[in-house]
Amino acid sequence: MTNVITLEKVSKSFGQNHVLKNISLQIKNGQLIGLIGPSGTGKTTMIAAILGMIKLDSGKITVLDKSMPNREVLGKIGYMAQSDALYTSLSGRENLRFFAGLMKQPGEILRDQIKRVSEIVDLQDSLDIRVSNYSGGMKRRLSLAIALLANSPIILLDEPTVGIDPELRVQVWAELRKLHKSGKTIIVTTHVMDEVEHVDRVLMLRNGQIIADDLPQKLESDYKVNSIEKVFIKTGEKNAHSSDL
Amino acid sequence: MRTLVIFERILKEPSRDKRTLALVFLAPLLVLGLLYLILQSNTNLSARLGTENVSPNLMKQLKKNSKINLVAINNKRSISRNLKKYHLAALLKQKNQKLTVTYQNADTSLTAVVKENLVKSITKDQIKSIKSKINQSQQELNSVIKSLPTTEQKAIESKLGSKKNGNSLSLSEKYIYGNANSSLFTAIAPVLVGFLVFFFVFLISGVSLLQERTTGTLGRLLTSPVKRQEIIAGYVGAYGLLAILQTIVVVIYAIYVLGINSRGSIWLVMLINLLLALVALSMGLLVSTLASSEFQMIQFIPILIVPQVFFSGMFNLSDMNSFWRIFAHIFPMYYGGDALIDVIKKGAGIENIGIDLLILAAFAVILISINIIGLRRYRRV
Repeated sequence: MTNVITLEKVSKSFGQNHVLKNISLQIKNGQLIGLIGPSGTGKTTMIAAILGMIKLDSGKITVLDKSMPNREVLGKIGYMAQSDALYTSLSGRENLRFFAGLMKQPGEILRDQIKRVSEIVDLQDSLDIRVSNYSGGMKRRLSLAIALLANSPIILLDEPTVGIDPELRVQVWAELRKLHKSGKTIIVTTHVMDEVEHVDRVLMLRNGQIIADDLPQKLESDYKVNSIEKVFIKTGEKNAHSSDL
Repeated sequence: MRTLVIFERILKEPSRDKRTLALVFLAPLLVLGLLYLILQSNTNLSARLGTENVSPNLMKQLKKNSKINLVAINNKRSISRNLKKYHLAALLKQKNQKLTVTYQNADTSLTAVVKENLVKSITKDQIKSIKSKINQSQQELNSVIKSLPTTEQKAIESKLGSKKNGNSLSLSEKYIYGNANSSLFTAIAPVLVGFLVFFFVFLISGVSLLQERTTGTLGRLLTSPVKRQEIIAGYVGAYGLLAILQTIVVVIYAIYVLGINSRGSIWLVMLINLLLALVALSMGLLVSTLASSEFQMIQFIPILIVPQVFFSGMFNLSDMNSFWRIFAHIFPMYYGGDALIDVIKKGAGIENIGIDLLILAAFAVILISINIIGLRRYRRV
């Protein structure tokens, strides 16, 4: 397996706040990765860095053998932002068409793609309603649909399951596993710990550093607990102790 | 083409927002129409003039003047109380051969009406008395001449005769643009049309891009392989089209409804307005990068837009100190206003306003380039 995304000694700070501290990381083709951490630890910054949307203080990021930022590579990344960036005066379908247009989706495939992704997120009956009339969860699902629209080899999802009801969340994860099986590289950030039980690699981010990087089951056994949530609490305690010393 | 996708998307937005559409197309017509009503009526302004103890001859002249409504006053109140009581613009008082006029002067346009017409009437009165005096002396002279021997009479008459009609001057007035009844409105309308387009395009395009920034869609756009110039081109295209439509509506309204006649080509007027709109558009987009809310966008209006009016040619600046006259050159409306006045009032062709057009185009190109570079803030490629 080849590396799809590589971070080399990446650092980024906003003023005094060191959000990413010298992070090095390789993500292999076809991995489904859960990026977890409390809010404000830099998950979104890391996603933005991979997309090339922020200027790094130091380090280098390579995606599909291209050094970021690179405009063409963006065409191979399906991205869902943490906040719903949607055009509220347009309908769901028009939003999908618009973003597909930016990704240069040809017309014939587009209709099938819109049908496919709207079914995944269960919006097929609300596509012609204006987004201003959508609920928070529906907007989240539309954002997810947009990320999946171009059938990109890399998918970056920033908090995709926030505000989605449990039933649909299960459905979304089932879909992500399906995409995973079809060979796509997926990074999902979340702070819902039990979600990452599904992934094949957990990256735990805390204070700008990756403090754990392993299979979820491996982490659980290492820390002698039975859920990722507890691993998370334990690492927190350990961190607190180490900073006490 | 991604530019087309963005172009379409932007045009969908106002077409669904009736308020914005009304702002673009009806608000300029409303403003123009109101100004027309206000400034047009100003030319027929008449003022109330109180008279106290004024000689009957002058009163006769004043009565003939349609712009002055006379109110005869005969009481012992103070001038200011009379002005107030009878709602007078001015009060004229005569004492022997001395006239004193006191203006209320709260409304300077009324003061101007009284001033102008008072001078006219007094002059007419004076001329009349001079004429009657001349006639009188003429008759006296005639009777003197008649008393002379016939040979001398003839010699004097032949001398006078050659001068008889030589000293009367007549003045007839002709106007190149407009006519004797041209109001302030006809004077500033050409520039006003350009300014209204400028203002509304600035506001709408700026707020629109600002919304994309605040809702995060601009950032989202830039995580797609779209080029920065494709985004700006989409904006320029969409709002450029909107500006063309707006210009057509405003120009047609000004010419066919409000009756502003253009000596130059209407197409040239449209072209100038379109260039002004492009400058306004790129200024709006640029200013939106400096604002973080719609309210902050509005705060730029007094700084960036209002001075454009002052230097647009609506006011005559030739008396201003030279520093400020040079300063005026940094405002795009200075060139737009100049070109509009030249075309509409003086019938200039494209060869006469070429420099103005070039400078406006340069403004647009530079501002648009800055916008494209400015998007690097979000993505460096």
